[in-house]
Amino acid sequence: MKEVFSILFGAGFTIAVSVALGSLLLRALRVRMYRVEAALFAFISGAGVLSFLVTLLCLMQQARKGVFLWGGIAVIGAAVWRARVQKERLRTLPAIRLDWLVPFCLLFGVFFIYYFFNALAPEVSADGSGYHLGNVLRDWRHHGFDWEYRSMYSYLSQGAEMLFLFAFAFGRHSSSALVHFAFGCALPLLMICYGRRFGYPKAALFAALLVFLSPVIAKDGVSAYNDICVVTLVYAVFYLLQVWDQERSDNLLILIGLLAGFAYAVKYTAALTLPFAVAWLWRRHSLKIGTLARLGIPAALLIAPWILRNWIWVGNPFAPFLNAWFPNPFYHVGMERLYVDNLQHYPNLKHWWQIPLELTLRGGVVSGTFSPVFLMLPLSLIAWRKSQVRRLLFAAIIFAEPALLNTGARFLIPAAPFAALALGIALESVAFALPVLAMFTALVCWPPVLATYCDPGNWRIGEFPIREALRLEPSAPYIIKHSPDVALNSAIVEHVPPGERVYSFAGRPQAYLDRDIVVSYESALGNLVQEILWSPHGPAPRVRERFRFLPVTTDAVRVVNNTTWFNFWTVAEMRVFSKQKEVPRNPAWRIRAWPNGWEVPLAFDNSYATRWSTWQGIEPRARIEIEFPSPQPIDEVALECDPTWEAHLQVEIRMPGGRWVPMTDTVEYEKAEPPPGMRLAASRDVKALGFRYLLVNDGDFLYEDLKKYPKFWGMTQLAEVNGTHFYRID
Amino acid sequence: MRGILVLIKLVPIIGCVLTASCGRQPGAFAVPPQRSIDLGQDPGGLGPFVIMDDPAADDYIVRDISPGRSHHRWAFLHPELRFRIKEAGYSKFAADFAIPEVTFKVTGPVTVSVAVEGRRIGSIRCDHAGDYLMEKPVPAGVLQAGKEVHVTFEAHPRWVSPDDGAELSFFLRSAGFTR
Repeated sequence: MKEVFSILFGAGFTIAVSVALGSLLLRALRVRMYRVEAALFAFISGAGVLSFLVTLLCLMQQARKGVFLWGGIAVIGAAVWRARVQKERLRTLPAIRLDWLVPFCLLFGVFFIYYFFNALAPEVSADGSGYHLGNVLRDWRHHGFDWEYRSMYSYLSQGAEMLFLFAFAFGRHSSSALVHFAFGCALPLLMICYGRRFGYPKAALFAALLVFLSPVIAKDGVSAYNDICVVTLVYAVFYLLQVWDQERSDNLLILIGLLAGFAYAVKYTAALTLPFAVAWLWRRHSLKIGTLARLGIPAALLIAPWILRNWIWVGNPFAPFLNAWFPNPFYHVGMERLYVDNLQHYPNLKHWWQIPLELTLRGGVVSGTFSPVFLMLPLSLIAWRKSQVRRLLFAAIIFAEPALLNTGARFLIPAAPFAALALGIALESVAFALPVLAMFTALVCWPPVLATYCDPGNWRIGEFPIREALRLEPSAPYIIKHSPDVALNSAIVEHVPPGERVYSFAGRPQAYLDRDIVVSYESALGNLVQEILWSPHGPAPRVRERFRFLPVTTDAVRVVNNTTWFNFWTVAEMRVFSKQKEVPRNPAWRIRAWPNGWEVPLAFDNSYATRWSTWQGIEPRARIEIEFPSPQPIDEVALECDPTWEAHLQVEIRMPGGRWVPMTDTVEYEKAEPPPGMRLAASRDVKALGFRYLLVNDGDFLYEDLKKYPKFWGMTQLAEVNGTHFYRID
Repeated sequence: MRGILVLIKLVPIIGCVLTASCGRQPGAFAVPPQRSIDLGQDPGGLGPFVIMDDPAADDYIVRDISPGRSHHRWAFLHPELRFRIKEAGYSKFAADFAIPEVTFKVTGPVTVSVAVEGRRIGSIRCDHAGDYLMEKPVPAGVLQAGKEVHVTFEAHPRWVSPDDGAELSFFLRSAGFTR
């Protein structure tokens, strides 16, 4: 029970500090709010401030338990003192009829208990135990950001993770999940406040239930994800914009800006919140510099740490995206494109008409379902004449946009409260419609009932782990049951020295592994190691492309592509010849390439296990170049590679004036066999990159060969659990 | 209208800020240290000699030798191996094998003969249980550089399993061509 106390303290303390910070902020801004509203906005805005402060501590490597504890106590103390000194008489929102409120509380309460124990149980969600808390654990170990660890997931803004880190310091993983769950509870309450304030209490109660009970929102909310944090912030901004419409308070704009900035800090997809607010103000009011400044400065304050961190650290303020605009050596343009393309496409979808049913009934293709009542959403158009419905539907459409980039149901969550409320308002005049639909939702979304009709792959709450939640059962078997790789942690800790990294083709539950894992698709380094390990079977050069020309003396030569194609251009080795003899490579040569010039040495290292690649579709001017220290007679350039047949290559030499002159675009293809010992070469080159340990799954491309010929790879299997093999490069 | 003008004025500034690092390129590099490409064999590349617990040993076996990666392997009815001689200079065939006590008790003395490319090159009589090293010269012209060479063994008598009739010849440790 001591562990449960720590978990609850961690989450409770984080929420309390957030509320304290928020109440100080709201008092400072003198924003007029109703009582419940004030408490909710204090939590939400305070969470933004706390996240910002923890970010600063992480930047200064001062994210420590003592700092959190004493800083938190000071903030709570200041808030209590301020509340006593400046007593406020807050107004109360219009009351809700008891015959509506009691059934709502009953349904909400039953589901709350079910969800609460899921959030309290050991955190085992895929992304939660993978990178959300993986980042948190790494930040915790380093008392701030780990500048050496490079993964696309560590570049994402981590506004929610900063709150998780605060909670993690006291109660570890489950505390973080409970903090996210707090947002999941704040959202329906905020929706009800909205309904009470703007005259739609019944519709708001219905909509709050529709959202809170929707299986994908519930599952996300009890996990250490960030989507519920995002939707709460998006909704809060919308809410405040409506309030601003009524009150035109300048200080309210500061709060809106802060929440919009926090939304970006939590998740990139919430970047829409700020332009939405700007557009709203522009539409409702002429946009002045002062208005923009009140909105923009607080927003920029919360956004800036993430943009600046990535700009300085990665060279790309929006990493891991927009790498074509901000080329950097840490994440390949082509990998970004593959990743985004992959997220944009529905697997196993036969027809677009399946999507509504997938989103509400099946959930296998889109990884999650909302209440089936959302199928009635078109009925909200009945109330199109009401400006409130038009606004809600407009917001729903805007905040559903990220779903175009990611097909997961999670990415529609920000649109859900708007859609639910619009439907509620449209149906509230139909007798018994809302209570009946709410009861129906409660029935079909009750997890054991849901399991009877949804797809087995639907991402949902699937159990009620009360004994594990209360730690009456040890956590380890529960965690290993859901994340079998965790069983390898003891072997990893035994063999891998602290500070050394492990390579893996697949993502792992990094929140439970005590060494950093470099995953194949998460970084340029991961891509490189994967390519090297695959080289004995695929990318090793099978062709020599020979470009012969009349003897010429030059101080630089390059091979340039003159066409556009979606495939990458790769070169394992580039060699130059004179009179049929290779011109020996000289450390004084200067070599360059574009794009991805950082990896050009791979085409000049005499290893057939490594290769330079454009790592993006080829385009004109893509090139690889050698500059000699003094003019050099040459008559042939050879590229040993896995050819990109669509490329149109030509050899150019540099004239004394600096002008590049084409020599030939005639290429002779010659079959070439990579030398024997490619497996050992691959192991050697991976080791040279700092990796001595590998995690390989049964299904990984490499595994069968590795199992058959470990000696030819120079590797030894150290442990194996549930189809995951832990290897050492000897 | 004024708001739009403000936004229009801000666009170039924001653009400059955002694109300040666009086009960042790494410049030139020196040629890195050169890697060795002499790293040994790949599996499937036959050599002149094989030891039975070598990871590539299965590639040498044509038939009738037990699978697995044991120190010794059972040779059954008509055991056959294949080799590849990469250059000239190999003149002898050598095999290291054992007659186990358990089969010798039943069979008594065993004669093991060996043939290269179908030409018998010699035999050895095993009159006790234990380890044997057979070493026989190979006639000139039988081994050709770059070509696959097949070697067959015959043992007589063989131990016959009373259960399933399986026949065991001997326990092979290693075999191949030497200089």
